Amino acid sequence: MMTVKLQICLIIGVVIYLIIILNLIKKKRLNLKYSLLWIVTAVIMIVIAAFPKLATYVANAMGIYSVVNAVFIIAGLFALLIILSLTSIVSKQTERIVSLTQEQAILERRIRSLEDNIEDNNKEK
Amino acid sequence: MKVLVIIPAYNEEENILNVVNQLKVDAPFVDYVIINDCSKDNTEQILMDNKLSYISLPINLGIGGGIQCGYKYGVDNNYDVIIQFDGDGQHNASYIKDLVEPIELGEFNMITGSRFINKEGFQTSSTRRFGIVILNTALRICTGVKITDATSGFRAVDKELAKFFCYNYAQDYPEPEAIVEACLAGFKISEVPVVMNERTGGVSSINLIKSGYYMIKVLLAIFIHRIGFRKRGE
Repeated sequence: MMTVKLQICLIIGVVIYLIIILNLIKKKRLNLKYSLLWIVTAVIMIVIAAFPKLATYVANAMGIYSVVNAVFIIAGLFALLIILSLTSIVSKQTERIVSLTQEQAILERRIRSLEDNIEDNNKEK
Repeated sequence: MKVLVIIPAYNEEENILNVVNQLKVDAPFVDYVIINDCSKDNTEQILMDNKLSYISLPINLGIGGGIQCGYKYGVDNNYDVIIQFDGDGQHNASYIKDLVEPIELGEFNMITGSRFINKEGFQTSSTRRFGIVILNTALRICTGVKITDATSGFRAVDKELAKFFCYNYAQDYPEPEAIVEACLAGFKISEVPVVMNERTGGVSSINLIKSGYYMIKVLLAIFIHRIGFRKRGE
């Protein structure tokens, strides 16, 4: 069984975590699109803390003797999920940066050749 | 037929001028563009002073991103054939016409120059040849195409495949991956024999320590393509 103490600690922890997230979103330091996963995990953790029977059920289903361990595992899995989503975001951004860099370099070349043309024309005059 | 030669260059101040001058002598019918991949040495200064045709990337993208930039430039400017050509003097420009010919005839979308068909010229070290044989085999298993020099960076590509490469091109060590991608997308690929030189100066971009990482990554990429997991740039 989960102790009341742990329940209270979990709820306080998650509430602080939610406040930080919401604050960051408000200050526009966290993109709402990327914060959804964080908020969803927070909500699930609160639900688990408020209804420990859910955790007991999960623990039994996974063959874990202690409910507390099940809670830790769930929290760890969420952390992994978030890290994976970050890697995916980084990959996407890398692709975009590469694309922008190439486009910029091609434009720079075009400007350079246009400038050369203008210079040549001026010389002819 | 408008032919463009892409010459990727990273810290090639010793070679680049010779490579371009030799190219102008051996293949006078082509246009060329040097992709300066944010070199740390005097490459850019040399390009500027000699009024060479070049594109200068503001961030170092690595060989894949640089080549892809060349493909984009070639497609933008309506070239019919785009050729990849190393900036370190390893490739011999007199073979460019051999690479272009089958594409001109419309038989293939991509022609790679292989140094292992006639086994002439610089044949690289035996460890590296062993690695290349493994890659050739992996490519053959996964795509059915018979390739003798999977890592060759000397290749000609037609307009259609160049457009495809603008959106799908591996970034790190792209040669074998590009073959898989092109094959699985239904493009026709072949090889012609060429003679390659040992590089005349500078340092190769692949050293021994990186080779293990290179093999693992490329093999993984080849197999993932085959499974059909990846759907990029659609």
